[in-house]
Amino acid sequence: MQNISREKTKLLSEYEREMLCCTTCGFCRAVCPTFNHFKQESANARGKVLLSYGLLKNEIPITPRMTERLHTCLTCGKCNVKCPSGIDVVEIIKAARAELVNKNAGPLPDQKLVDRHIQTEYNPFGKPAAKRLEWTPKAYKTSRNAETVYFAGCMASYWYPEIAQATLKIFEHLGVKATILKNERCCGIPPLWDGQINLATELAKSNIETFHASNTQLIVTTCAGCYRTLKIDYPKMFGKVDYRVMHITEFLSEFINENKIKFKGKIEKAATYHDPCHLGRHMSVYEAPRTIIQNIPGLKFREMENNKKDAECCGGGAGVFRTAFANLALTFGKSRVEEAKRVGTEVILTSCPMCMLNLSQAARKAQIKIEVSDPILLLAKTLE
Amino acid sequence: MCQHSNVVKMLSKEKLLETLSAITAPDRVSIDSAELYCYSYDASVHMCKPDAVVWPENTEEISRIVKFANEDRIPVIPRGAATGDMGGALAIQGGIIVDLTRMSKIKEVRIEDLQVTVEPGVVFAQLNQELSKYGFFFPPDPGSGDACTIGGMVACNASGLHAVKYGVTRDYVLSLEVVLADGRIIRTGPKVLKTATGYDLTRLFVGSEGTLGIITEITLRIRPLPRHFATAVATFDDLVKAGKAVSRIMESGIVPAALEIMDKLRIQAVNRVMNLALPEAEGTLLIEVDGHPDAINEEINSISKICREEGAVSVVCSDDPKEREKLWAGRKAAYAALIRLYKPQIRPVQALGNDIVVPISKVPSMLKSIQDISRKHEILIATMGHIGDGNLHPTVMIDVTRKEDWEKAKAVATEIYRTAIELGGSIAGEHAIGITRAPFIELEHADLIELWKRIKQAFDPNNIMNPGKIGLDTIPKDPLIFLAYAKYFEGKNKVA
Repeated sequence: MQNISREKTKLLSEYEREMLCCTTCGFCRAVCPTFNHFKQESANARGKVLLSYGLLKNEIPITPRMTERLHTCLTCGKCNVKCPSGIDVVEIIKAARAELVNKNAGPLPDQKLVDRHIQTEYNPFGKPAAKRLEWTPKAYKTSRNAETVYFAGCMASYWYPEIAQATLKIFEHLGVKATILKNERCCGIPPLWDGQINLATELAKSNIETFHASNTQLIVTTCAGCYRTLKIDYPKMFGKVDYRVMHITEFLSEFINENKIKFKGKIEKAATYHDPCHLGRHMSVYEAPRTIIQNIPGLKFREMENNKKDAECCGGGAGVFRTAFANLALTFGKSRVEEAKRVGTEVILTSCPMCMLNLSQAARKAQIKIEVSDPILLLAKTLE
Repeated sequence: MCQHSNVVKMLSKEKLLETLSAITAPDRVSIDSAELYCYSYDASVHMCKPDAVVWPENTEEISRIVKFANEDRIPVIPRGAATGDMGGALAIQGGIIVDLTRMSKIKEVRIEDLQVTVEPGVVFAQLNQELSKYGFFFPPDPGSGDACTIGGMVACNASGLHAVKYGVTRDYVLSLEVVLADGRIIRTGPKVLKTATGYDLTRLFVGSEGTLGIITEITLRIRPLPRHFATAVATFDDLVKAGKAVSRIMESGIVPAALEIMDKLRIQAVNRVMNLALPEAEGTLLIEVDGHPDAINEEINSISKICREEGAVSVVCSDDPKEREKLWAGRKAAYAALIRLYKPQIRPVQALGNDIVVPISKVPSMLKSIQDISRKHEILIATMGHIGDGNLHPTVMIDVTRKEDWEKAKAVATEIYRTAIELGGSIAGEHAIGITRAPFIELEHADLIELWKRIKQAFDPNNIMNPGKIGLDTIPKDPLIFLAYAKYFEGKNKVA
């Protein structure tokens, strides 16, 4: 077993060279969603890199506007794609938020509340930790030794149990033996992105210990956020990890490509796919969810105008944006829903329960009639 | 950082905030240090802090802002996307930055008149996206086209890849609405394709860099979109040979839609950052022709033949639109991509010695001189440019944390500018003058400055409109003034 006591989180100061690479060319203005909303430099990627630099170099005092603007970022990564200097803006913002916490200026009040829930109940909603596995079927038994683990995450455990249940149903259909770990905790994505690195590190450590104790070889997630965190951020914190991580869409697309899924039902609907930032731009998983969608009998698939690496963010912003700026999150969600409507679809599919939540709430608030679902929910239905 | 000389002497910041809020709205004015910090930068190497930023939404608001500023002698700095690399959008003497980004309406598309009327904050790429629905376009195509605004393009007389065939912004501006320094709103002419009535103020405002007034509405001539394209990539083992091929192409009577040159450093950088697989030769020409399919076929073949005769190592032609898109995306990223060639602080500095223009016939001599200057000063210069119109972008690569490197770059810039002028050229093709090139303006126009100053005086007697730009003021005398990186060698900061 590896030594997991080694903690390694990159500080803002370690990004100084990266920030010096910013030629302040301003090309990010073309894609930055928060800039396009506010039309102010401090809301643009370039501005936020400058603010991060000013924060590091103590060139400007930390005003409430500064704190707010460093959080006015969906960390969607569109700037990373556009940047001709190849700057990792998203990681700089993450480190800057941690620096704000170091300087007692973060996170924002609503984010703090979420973090407190996580500290006490290991989920961002403050629901009892003891109820985390309530979604599992009665006959289901957790196992101590778990080579393949289904990591349901907080969203599927508490908000969308149907996603977790569909996953188990599909696994059963395929004869996959996967286990849910009793000690699963929040992956840590909210504190990781609101700057509370210590809390994120504690959660990571606890989850890694659980994986190790169970001899976990492979973890499958249904949440794009958990997927990125487990696959990218845990190794960033603790060095190389022993387990592999797959998103459910990657895992299932292999079965589809080998013709191992026997579809029975049909779903006659026009569907589009919303690329979650954490699955798409952050992890470059674009084809796997499309493979699933395009193989579901009856489903007519249409791409939105902005798709794959150009996809617009749902507005959730790793959840922390939604927590801090609820109305704005729904504004971004609405514009994405409208984009889906423009290509004449009845259902938006997305492989992230956070995107699903924000898009469906945005549609409801704007009174736009459209279904929001997850490809695996439809897949599970066609197995009946 | 910039030390303010004459700013807001009589007026407290609170009064400034209150007045500007009353004219616009409280959430459209800021004097917050974080916001001002962001507005202390543009795409240049300088850093100057303004006193306030305001985001007006219409001409009347701008008129009232300027009137108030004029009464209190506060500098007013109009700002578009701030993608300019000469410091034109910075508050060199403090003052109010007027960010025009919120004025982004395309007001009228009049295809039958071959015209479009826009607010200054409309982004170039968005305008062309709209015009493409009608099969038309606004041709000047700056590298920053996805982000830069039409107002900024007009104020700087911007152009880009396609100027060789389609000309520059100035060639398309028909009429302007402008707020003058005393708050008056004027229109420079009727919205017609030609007029011969008196002095041409429209053309005076194009390239005036915000020193004469704030442009609040622009009427542009538009052109039908070309339907077919062919591209050629020709590589040479010597940059000067590539320059000679260009002269031959131009004298053959063919007018390419784009004719670009990139040296080895640029190609390497673009290959690395954009994942292109262009051959890494000493000199590469990227050539495009557009028009009728039969004509472009013949033209691209002739161009290819000329390149071979001039010693091209390879010539690859294509009419695949995807290849074309990739090629130009690579070309547009060629500046910033240089940054990934060496360690982070070794950066391309576009502002010093860049953007010169010489007659096409003098391009080979200019390229040769650039190479000599590079060797003489032992400084890396990555060259590319719109070679088809004689506009070159030699870019020095320096360690931005070292004072010696900056001094060297300044010496190189001076020599490059002198050489361009000696060859009958100009120090600025399309990036304007701003702060960085103001100290060099007398090299080219010593005899005109006095006349320019009198024009400025007539429009802006109190010198509130974007002061310190184009070399009309006594400052700046040094292109390294208010250098954002100065902290690295003034001992305050060490790079981690």
